[in-house]
Amino acid sequence: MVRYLAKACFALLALSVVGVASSAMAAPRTDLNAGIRLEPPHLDPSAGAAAAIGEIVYANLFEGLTRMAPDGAIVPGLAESWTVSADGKTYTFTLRKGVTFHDGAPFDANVAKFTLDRARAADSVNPQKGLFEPIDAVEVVDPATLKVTLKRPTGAFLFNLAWPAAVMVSPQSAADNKTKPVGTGPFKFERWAKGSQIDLVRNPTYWGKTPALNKISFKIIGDPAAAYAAMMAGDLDAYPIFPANENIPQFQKDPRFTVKIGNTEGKTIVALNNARKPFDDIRVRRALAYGIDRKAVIEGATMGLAKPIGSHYAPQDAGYVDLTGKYPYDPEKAKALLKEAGVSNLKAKLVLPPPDYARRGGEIVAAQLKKIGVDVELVPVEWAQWLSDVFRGKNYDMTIISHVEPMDLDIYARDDYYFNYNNPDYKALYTELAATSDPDKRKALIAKAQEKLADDSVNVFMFLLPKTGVWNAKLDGLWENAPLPVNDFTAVRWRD
Amino acid sequence: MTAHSFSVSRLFHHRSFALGSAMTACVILVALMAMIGTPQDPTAMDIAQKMQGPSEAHWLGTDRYGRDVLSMAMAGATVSLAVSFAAVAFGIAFGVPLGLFAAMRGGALDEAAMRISDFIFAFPALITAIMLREIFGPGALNAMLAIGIFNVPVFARVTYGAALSMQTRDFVVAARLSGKGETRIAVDHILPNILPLLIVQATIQLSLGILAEAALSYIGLGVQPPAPSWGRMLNDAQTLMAVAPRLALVPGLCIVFTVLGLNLLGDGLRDLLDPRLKRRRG
Amino acid sequence: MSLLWLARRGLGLCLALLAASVIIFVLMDLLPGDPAEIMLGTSARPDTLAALRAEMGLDRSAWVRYAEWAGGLLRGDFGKSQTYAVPVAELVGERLVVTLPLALISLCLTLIIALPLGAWAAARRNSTTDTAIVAITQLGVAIPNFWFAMMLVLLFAISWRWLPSGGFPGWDAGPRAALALILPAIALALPQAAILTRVMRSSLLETLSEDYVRTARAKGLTRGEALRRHAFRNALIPVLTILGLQFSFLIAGTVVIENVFSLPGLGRLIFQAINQRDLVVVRSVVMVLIAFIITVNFVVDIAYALVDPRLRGRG
Repeated sequence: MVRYLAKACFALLALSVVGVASSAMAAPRTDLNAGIRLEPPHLDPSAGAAAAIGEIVYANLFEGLTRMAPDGAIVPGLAESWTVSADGKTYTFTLRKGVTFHDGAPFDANVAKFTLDRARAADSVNPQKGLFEPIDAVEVVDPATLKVTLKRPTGAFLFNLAWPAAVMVSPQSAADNKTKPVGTGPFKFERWAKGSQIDLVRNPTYWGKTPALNKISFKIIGDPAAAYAAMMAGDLDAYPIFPANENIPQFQKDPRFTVKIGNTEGKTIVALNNARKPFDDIRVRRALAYGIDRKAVIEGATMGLAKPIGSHYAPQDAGYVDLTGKYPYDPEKAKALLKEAGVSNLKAKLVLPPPDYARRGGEIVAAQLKKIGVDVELVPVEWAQWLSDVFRGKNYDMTIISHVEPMDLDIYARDDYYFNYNNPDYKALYTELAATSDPDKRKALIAKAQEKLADDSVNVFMFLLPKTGVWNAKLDGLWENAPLPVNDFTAVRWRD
Repeated sequence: MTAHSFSVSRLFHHRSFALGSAMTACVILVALMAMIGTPQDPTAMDIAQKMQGPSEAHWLGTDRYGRDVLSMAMAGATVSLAVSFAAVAFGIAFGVPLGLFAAMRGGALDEAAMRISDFIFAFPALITAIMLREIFGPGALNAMLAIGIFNVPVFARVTYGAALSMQTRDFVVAARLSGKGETRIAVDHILPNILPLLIVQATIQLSLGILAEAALSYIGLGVQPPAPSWGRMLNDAQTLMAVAPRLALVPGLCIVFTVLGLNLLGDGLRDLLDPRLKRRRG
Repeated sequence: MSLLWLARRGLGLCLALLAASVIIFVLMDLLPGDPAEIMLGTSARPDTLAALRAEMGLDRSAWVRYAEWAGGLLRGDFGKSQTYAVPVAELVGERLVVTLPLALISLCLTLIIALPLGAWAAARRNSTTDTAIVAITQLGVAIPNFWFAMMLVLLFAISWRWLPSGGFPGWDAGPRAALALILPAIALALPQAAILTRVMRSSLLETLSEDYVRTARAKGLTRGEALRRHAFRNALIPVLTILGLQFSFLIAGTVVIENVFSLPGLGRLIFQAINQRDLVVVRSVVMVLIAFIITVNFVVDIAYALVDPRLRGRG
């Protein structure tokens, strides 16, 4: 009797859940439930580096002068057009008219000047303050015209302005953007249930094209098993970067879902401390490159979904050269190189930050290096410790990390970067690249830079993180690739 | 309470003792065997052979990196028992002297010692473990320490309570009259008498330690790779649950078997050793 | 004497709270890592970091920060989260609406399972029923709750798709919110129920052997009647003690289960806050939890002393 009752109760519950889901499906939908992995600390992209901030507010809530298109191109945002002076140092932006913030405050050249000056001020807490460093002066010509003068020609300036950290904020609301973000975008902030979800709703006074969606709910479901079940149950309509590659084949088999394996800019490397013995010896660094089987790491750590890389540059970016064949997996050669360098019984610590690619990749790399006689001790750390010990303190042997900034060849030219590379030849090469604006010459120099890094085997370059997007097959307009860690949902719509 | 019902209960509890000791012996044997060698190297990866079902080469199949699940489970027994034993030893080494000291001296020191153990109890265990990890880094030693710290007040209390109840017993009073020092009395007379109680408690703490180690390793605070551990195996299996539930079943059942064995053993031991029960029976 | 005793215990309580606050403060200050670095990431420049540290008040000495924090606590002000930029009290409130119902549901489940089962086993001592119940509780105690949770997810959420496997839609989602708490509550309740069943059983058996119950039975009451009329109430005292312990465990100790089910509860708040080095949140929340437990212990001690004056003689 009790058993039948229990069964009946469960059946009723199940029916009611199905009922809710199907009635919602029948009507043409204008809402979207999107899964994200990590909860942002706050919602102000100009005051925090967490990728989760941009993943929610970029393009949806906040807009910049320029913006990034799905293919990575720079297109007009709040600036409808611009001109660049012949010396490449003066940018004149024509701003859109009739734009207002969600609180009714107008957007004009004064606001743009306020935003840029705030980001580069002495007390600025902008996480990408370096993007604004080339700016010498910002001038309001008239309410619709902004003139920015640079200290030196900067090829990437328009690109820099498209970053989440460069979005336009209003002087009236900038201080409260962390908890009550006020932007100019097609969606405005509605609610943040801490620890579970963030809701955005359509902005009725948007200056541009009205989006098809009425409401976006970002649901924080970090646990892979929970995310899988939530997608399968229809609680989530889209998970732009699904947290477990293990489940991708099951989504691919299911006709209810669209699965797109796209590119990110995440160059995943085994970073080596080039200043520390024996990693200061190029033969040792090359031995490590020969001793790591990229294919097996990709298979084991990303379930075979990632693309291999041979240098610090993403295959989809302009000027890429394929160097993945430079150090084919060859344990014998690796051993010989180590012997030649006079290194035996090498013991090294491999520091692993929290993401799966690092923790799983680290286990595999350690097992592979064991075969060439390198004894690797795994040291898992949280981000806090990784940042202070490895990144700032430079106190490490090896670490696995994904560099997600696009086209960041500059980091190898920095004096005080955690790789401790400090190579004068490369610095000269990069200085030349930064001052070159001719696209073809730039491409040639970019290729040379990639070759130099691969040849010096500065780090062991492993793979490009995949963007494993899973969404309801009836959804259109989601980005396949992630040129920036953002979720631009402005063009997303449900098909009938 | 009739004598008859006691003998039945004794028989039952003896049964649990027999079953418990057999199960525990089994686990210890496997752990010792794994120290000498496992069928295959539990850390050796073979990505091409990943996620295989049970076969002749791999009795329990392979995991996401193509490691042999049977070998990992066996090596996991060694790690689990080692951490748990060490944590109990830690608890006894600090807890028993603390409890004895408090019971023998009495007064303000007694109060202070027991307040300290209350105080440790008040810290949420897992949160303390997380903070310890952040300061000392994760690893088997840290797991042992995090579990061991909470064993200290447990043993202190058991010792304290038992030792206090001995204070008025004839042989203690006699020893005191004969002029023996408090320390001597504690070591010569009280300790041997409360030993059974401590053994029972140690068995219980061992089984709690196995559970705690599994939980800590599961959330990444305990034993670190490449060292195999049941908790880590469960963590690895979680994202694969829809694909290969076997990977979550094996380590889980190992934990249940071990803990069950230790608990049965503890129950049996309590019946056989607990002086209070013995007195009642007699 | 009695007043002096009370005063001494009160002083002890204050000292314990003070010590706890110092330990928490120092532990959190010892954690490697810098909250400003975490906020600003890898592209941050030294001057930006310094500006943010100043904004967070991290550039002041430890003494000043301790005094400010402890002073705030005394006034009931838990401070403001450094990462979320909202008052800690508000954050905790938001988490409690998940954690508290979850704890209560699993506590109810525990009681519903444990009390009848324990009483049943005690009433039929040494019967097959008793043996079976004891065996089941042995198994229940031996199953790690997070593994049990994984198995529940595998069966109910992944294989049968009856219940959500995780996440929490918020209470305005109505019945779906309650559904989301079912599996976690079961996972939490199982080992607790197993423990409580055993406590209930042995506590009943203990009272059944007491003189007054024996007298009652000698007067012709059946075992079941003696159980109902006399033993049950007295047996509840140890049960309640254990239940109190279990409740404080459920409030603070559910980090693992909350992780398995992606629930925004109090345990996860602390876990996240430690990782993000949100020192203010961790300190205040942990301090409140510890103060809660220490105070409960204090009240229990006094209650025992009132009941049993002999205990007052010591300490």
